[in-house]
Amino acid sequence: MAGLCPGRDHGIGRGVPLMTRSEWLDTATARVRFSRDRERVRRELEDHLNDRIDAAREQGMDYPEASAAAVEAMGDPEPLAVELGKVHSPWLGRLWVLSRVLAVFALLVLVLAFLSGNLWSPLRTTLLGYGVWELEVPPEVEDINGRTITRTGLWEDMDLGEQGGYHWRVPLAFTQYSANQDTGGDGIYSMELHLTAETARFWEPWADSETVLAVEDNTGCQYSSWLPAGGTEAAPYFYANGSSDGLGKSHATVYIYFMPDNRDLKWLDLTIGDTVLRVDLEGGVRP
Amino acid sequence: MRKNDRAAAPGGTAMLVLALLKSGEMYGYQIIEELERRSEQVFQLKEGTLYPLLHGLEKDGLVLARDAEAPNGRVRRYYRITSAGLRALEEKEQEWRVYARAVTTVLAGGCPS
Repeated sequence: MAGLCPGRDHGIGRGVPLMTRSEWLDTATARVRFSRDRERVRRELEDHLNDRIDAAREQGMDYPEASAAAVEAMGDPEPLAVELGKVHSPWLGRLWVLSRVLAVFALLVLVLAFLSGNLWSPLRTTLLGYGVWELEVPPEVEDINGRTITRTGLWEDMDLGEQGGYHWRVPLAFTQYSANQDTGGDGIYSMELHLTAETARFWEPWADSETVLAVEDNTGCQYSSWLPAGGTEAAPYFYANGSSDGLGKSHATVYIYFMPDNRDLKWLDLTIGDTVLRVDLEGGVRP
Repeated sequence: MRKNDRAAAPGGTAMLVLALLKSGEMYGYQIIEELERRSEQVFQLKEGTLYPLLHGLEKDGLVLARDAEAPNGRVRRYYRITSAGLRALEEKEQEWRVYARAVTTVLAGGCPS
């Protein structure tokens, strides 16, 4: 605070300690303890002070005179500071800051959970495309072993209905024959079958629960879930990959290797726990 | 008449400020000038009274404040009355009428009927 200014007598405030604008503003807002509030109040009072200066200058004062007159007219900042301090409780401001800190913290936790992948798999699926299943029929070309692949059957959107609390669908299945031109022998008959299970109980996705899958066809042939000793041409065999989108929809891709000499194949029974799903393959397993 | 910083009566300065804001949104300096003009220089509100009052009214939800650019390019804090403020104003006006009638009657030497 400036002391008495006998040398700078502007004709106003005689005997009253003269303050500069910023001293007055600092004093008036000193008791507003929350800094954001303080800045806002200071801006408002400064604006007011500027209006007063403009008014004084319109009456013909020069700037220093007008400024001093304006500060003088604003009155004693001390009692104003006390009153403003009462109105602006710092607790509301602190609560506001605390809520922001908590929000940032919560966001951080979410990001970590999201990245760790233990939580929010639906979100990850949506945002990053994890677990988005490709339902594509591969082209009929030679495979990596030089075999010519011929598509022998193609099914789309087979609805297997409701069983065991899940709605089962086969969005895509196809059978193919890979001729082995090197040996001239029987090729490989196989099937790729996409199976989906939907439930409203998203916390009980089928593919994440204990998945017991068994495959048997109409000829009574049971398919091994272990790779046969002689390879896929030696015994009927299947394997499956399953995953869940975290929203109650599970998807499994089942690869089934038929016996090349099984000429009477009509349907497959997929046993999943207590549920038996019949996949009808009538007309189209063979070329 | 002596110039009053405070309108010492029921309702007081808050009532006058709310009554001013009823006619439209205003900023602090404007409120002081407008009150002086409308009261024919009787009420001269000081900054030391006005701002704690305005900020208190804002805290109580009787007025809303917003920062907006004034025609001269300055960003000003404008206040406008809320519906809760209008209700409070009505109550204060009512109290004031009772008070004013009582004072008038006493000054006239009569007895309120």
